[in-house]
Amino acid sequence: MRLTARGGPWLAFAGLAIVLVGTFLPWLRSGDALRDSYQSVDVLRMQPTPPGGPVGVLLYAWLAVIPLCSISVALYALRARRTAALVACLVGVLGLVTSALALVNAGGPADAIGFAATGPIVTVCGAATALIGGIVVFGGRQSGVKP
Amino acid sequence: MTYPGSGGQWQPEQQYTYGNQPTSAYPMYYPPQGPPQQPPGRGRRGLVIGIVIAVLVVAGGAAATVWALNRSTQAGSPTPQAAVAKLATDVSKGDVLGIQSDVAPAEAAALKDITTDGSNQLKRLQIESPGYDPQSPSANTTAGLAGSGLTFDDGAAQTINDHLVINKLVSGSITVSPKLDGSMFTQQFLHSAFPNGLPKQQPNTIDIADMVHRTGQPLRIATVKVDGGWYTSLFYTAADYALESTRRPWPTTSLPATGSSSPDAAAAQFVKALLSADYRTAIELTDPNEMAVLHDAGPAILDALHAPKPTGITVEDISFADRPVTGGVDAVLRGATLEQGGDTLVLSRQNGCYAVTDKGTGDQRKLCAGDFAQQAQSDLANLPPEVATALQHLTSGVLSNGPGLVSTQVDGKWYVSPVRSFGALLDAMVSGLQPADIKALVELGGGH
Repeated sequence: MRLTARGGPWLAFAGLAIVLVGTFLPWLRSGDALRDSYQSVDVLRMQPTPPGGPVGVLLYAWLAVIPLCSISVALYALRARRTAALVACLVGVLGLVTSALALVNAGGPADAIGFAATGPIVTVCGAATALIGGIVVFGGRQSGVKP
Repeated sequence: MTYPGSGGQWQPEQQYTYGNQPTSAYPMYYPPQGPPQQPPGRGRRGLVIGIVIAVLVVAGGAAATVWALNRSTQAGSPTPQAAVAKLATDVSKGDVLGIQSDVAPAEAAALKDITTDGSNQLKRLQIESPGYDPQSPSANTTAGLAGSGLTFDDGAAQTINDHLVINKLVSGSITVSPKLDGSMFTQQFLHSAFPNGLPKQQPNTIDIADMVHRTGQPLRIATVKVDGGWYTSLFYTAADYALESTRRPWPTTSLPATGSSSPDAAAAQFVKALLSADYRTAIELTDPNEMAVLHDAGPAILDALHAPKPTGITVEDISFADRPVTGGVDAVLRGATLEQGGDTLVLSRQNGCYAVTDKGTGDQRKLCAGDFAQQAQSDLANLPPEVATALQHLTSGVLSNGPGLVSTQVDGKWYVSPVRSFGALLDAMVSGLQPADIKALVELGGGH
């Protein structure tokens, strides 16, 4: 238990790093051109009828992924471990939901325009890892085990 | 206990003894509670390192965010040459989204709005698949687009003014591969249109060099500067070809934009200007962003029209009913009082029909949707009843919605948008049609 709790931060940081890498991998395919998640969000937001409701909120929230990752690491460095873990969990949830939406709407290879799978898959893996790491750190402190 | 200050340790204020235990020369400490304490120097150093790491990480995150977000697809290109080079790259990659972002923003927005409205009507008429969204990145497109070796002659680029450059495409090829399948169209429509099965879909390749050889001049593509970035312009390209065909140069001055206080005022002024052949005022009333090309080419258009004759109709009074549409307000004609040659005609809209009353004689003529269908049936004896019904629906769409002019707001003023007005008119026409009408029209067109 103690070993797992100590591994929590590393798990969370590894997850955040994978999330960051994933966001810069292909998310959107248009012809032979590939766009990362930030360019894809830009394209979606520039549509004449940009997605509203929860998807619209997600598009704006996605722009906070890099700041949230850096804030999580900074908080950990400042020994605010539980808050850092909470932010890592937030990134995890955001990454999981957004990647899942992209993967559900991923087009086939014959489609001229469609979501690509590489970026969302890597991000899902990173987000899940960050979420687990964050929960371990959070749970470890709650149960009195020091990470 | 006393607080030792930052980085220090909590110190005991007094010694604790048990019973008669002799006091020692050394103070007795109980083991400290909580996490093991670090020596003062080490703790302070750790905190400083933590702060430095935190600052570096946050600064790095901010820089990475700015970098990631600055790679906007809508920012335009730094030069006209870069704009056409990007267009060539996007066409070569078949990057439909990239091509959309290469087009001047106001033009792209107007065309996208019209496409979206049209798409909704096509869905209602069961021509387009319900799940198809032409603007969605997850949508399949109707045609594949690919380019190869597209080359612009940068040296031959023609600078018209500080915001317009005509570029010359000299070689390469563009291939369009049509795609007729169920991803965009409904099976019902495809079956009606192609009862013997879908035609073989052959890609169509346009050889630019061959075209240049045949026409004797390179393909001209206009780029315009908007908010500091260069974009390809469809409207300017069309205007450039129109000027080229009439052997007129681009004017050195532009017509100013003169907006109105409301959509109705803009529409009224526009109608009055057209009826009195005051095309200068009509152009000045058009949207300065979407129709910037009309303002720039305005002097040449006026020159080509020479001295146009007024219609002789003057508008004494005109009223509109406003209807919000995508990207603007549609001022729909509700009534007007017109004067021509001493006669006063009163136009009014009643129950989906327009009535024209001669004020002098009291004669009234009514124009309803059915009148067009009856006229068509009397002109075309063999017109099937289903097609006559479709024609009636087509005209009833216009008359029930009413013809209008779409205005857009720019910097607080209202301007007429000819492109959006045309789109709204098409939308109104199609809005009266029913799915069964499409089958009748397709059969009339030789689908069966």
